[in-house]
Amino acid sequence: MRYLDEYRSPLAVAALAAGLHADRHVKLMEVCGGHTHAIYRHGIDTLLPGEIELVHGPGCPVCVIPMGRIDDAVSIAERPEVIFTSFGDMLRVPGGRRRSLLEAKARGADVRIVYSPLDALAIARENADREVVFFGVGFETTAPAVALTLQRARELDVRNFSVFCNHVLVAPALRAILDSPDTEIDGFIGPGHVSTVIGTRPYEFICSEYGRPVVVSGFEPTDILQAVAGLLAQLREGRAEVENEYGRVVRRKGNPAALAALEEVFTVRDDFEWRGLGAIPRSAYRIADAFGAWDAENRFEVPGARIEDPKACRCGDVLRGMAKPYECRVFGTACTPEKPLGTCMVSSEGACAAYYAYRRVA
Amino acid sequence: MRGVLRVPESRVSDDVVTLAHGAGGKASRRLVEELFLPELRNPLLEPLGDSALVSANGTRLALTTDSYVVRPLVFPGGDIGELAVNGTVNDLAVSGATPIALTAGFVIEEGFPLDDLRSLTRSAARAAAAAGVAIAAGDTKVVERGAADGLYITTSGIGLLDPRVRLDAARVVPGDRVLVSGGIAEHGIAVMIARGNLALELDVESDTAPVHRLTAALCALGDDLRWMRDPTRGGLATTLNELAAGARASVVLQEEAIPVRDDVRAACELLGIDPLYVANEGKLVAVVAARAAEAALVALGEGAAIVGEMRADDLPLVLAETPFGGARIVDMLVGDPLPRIC
Amino acid sequence: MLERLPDGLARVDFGGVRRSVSVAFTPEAQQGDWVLVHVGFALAMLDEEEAQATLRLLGEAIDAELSA
Repeated sequence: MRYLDEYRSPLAVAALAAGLHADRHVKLMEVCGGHTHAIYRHGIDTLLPGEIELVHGPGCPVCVIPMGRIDDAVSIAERPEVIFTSFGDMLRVPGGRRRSLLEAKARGADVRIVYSPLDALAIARENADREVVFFGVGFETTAPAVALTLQRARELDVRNFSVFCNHVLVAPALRAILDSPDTEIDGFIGPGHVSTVIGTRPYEFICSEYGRPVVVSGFEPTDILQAVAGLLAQLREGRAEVENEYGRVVRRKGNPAALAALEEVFTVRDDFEWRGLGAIPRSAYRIADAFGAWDAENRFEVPGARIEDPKACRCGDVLRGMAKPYECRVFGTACTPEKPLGTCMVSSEGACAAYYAYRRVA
Repeated sequence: MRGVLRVPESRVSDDVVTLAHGAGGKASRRLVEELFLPELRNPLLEPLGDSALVSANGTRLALTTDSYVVRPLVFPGGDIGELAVNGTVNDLAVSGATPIALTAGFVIEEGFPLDDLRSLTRSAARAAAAAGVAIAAGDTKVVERGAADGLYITTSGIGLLDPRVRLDAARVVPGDRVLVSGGIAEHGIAVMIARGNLALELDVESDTAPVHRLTAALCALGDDLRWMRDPTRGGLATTLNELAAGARASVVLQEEAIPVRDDVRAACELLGIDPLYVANEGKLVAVVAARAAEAALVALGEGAAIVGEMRADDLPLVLAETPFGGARIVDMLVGDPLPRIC
Repeated sequence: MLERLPDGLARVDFGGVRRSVSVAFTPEAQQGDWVLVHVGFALAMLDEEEAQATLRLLGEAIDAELSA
């Protein structure tokens, strides 16, 4: 594919890595699950000098869904009239009492993996006698797709389709992390694909209010290393600005058409529970009243329970960059990708899953 | 790599069989080791190879069986009839045997069209002829509408072991090379296309094919040929994990050397699956002594590649090295991305 | 992008695999353009100039290292 190989050139990677140093211990948070995965897949952190530490932030939308909401999803899926559609990586996430969607499927629930929310709408149109529900999960990268799908559902008057909305917003989560008293993050590697939608403006508060630099980065090894270089330069020069390393697809103003769709279809919830981070105000979407007929929470009763994480689970600490996966007592023992206790282990973008896949203990 | 975590095997009891148990990965292995093996325990079964090796009056034979429950029954590049023959021929072939005869059991759902049954049987016959074997015995059963999803086929096979080879993962030594006979992940992708819920267009066909001619060519290497297997459910990754465990040595792969067609790789990326875990039906993995690697490549023909080598290790793993000098651990398949793949 | 289709869709090639995606968010995309696709939607067009600029920076980093 074009414009891919050059960004992976081993020569460029080595050259960039060699140019990186800091004069003190520096902690840089990468926010996006895709970045976590790219870093561990390519071993980028092993290329960095010891004084530069990468910590993982809450950029995995699968990981931050609380167990109570999974239980709600499972309770909808278990209804005989429902075809429950979802992205693949949500299937193994454990809920509380009611376990995961995959386990519900093993016990007879009609749970189907789809690549796009439009595919779920198509299933609804092909199965007029069933109720089709789509599990809306993801940041602002995915929410516009769901918004458009809801617009289409209304346009075509598809009555048997609804969305169980769990979309969350990146910027409020970053603010919550910065507000947390034990946070020691010096700079942020900004999410790549969310930024194609929201642009780079939403990160400006990190610089103006908290004095930390941000560099929005692509997903290739050279992108990430260039972003680290940019952050180190800003720290050296005492600057705190939003820079865009991923200019080839990210613009400051984002994508106006996508933002307009979000504006029309969703409203921001007063607060929403994030797994491991607690309740964060104005950090998640719910479906606007104009589209209320397609809101699964209006159509189905759900338990709505607030379930405590297992005591041993340190997903919250990992998500806030306060702990590394291997510092969690149950990492790799009671908590594995096969039998996850916490969602950082289940999603392929979760920090624990990435560490486990590469068997990292240091 | 900085540190390696020793992960203890978790022994968990599920109270019902799930689709994960049929995926060919960790759960499948556990089902065999924790349920079937203790109940059936006998020395012929314990090696858990693709075929059992039995001796009768001094003649060494290979014996194997496999069931085919693929859905849908017909897919780009093949159908269940062809799969059922090639799959069993291959299990015999990678055990170092020349296939002699097969049996075929058909479990048919009431209402299944006779024309379709005829067509699938014809495919099986053609595949058997191409592989030089006879389907010597068979059985049919019919079950009520709603069971059997159209058709299930079980084939058993018997073959004559080649005296030149003694295939055993325990014979593998550090420095031995690991080869693959061609591009991976094609069968799994072809079946996914046939299931029709992907909305992707691509021209990938199942690679279902008999590999007995390739294995016979490799058997000419004699003692230099250590071990072979056909990587079906669970993909190349699962097979290599079995190798690492059996050889008690690590398999070190070069990520870039693993042959994958461009469009197969693109499809896997779109779907978020790793080609290493996707099923194959016409490929084989072979471990040979380093000095025989070039000869083995020639024997396997076009598309084959040396993908890695064996390395001494306290903790046998499958490792894939990237061009940047990083390495990732390729674990056995967890869960089931693609049920009913073969 | 291989071709525009009716109803706000386009047929896109991902290195040998083709699929229809929605171009509701990239209405200006034309045949031959490169787009970033997520869950069946084109989210952004590849900006050639920016891509070249990034590659130039990489080239400079390599030169700097080789001459160091």
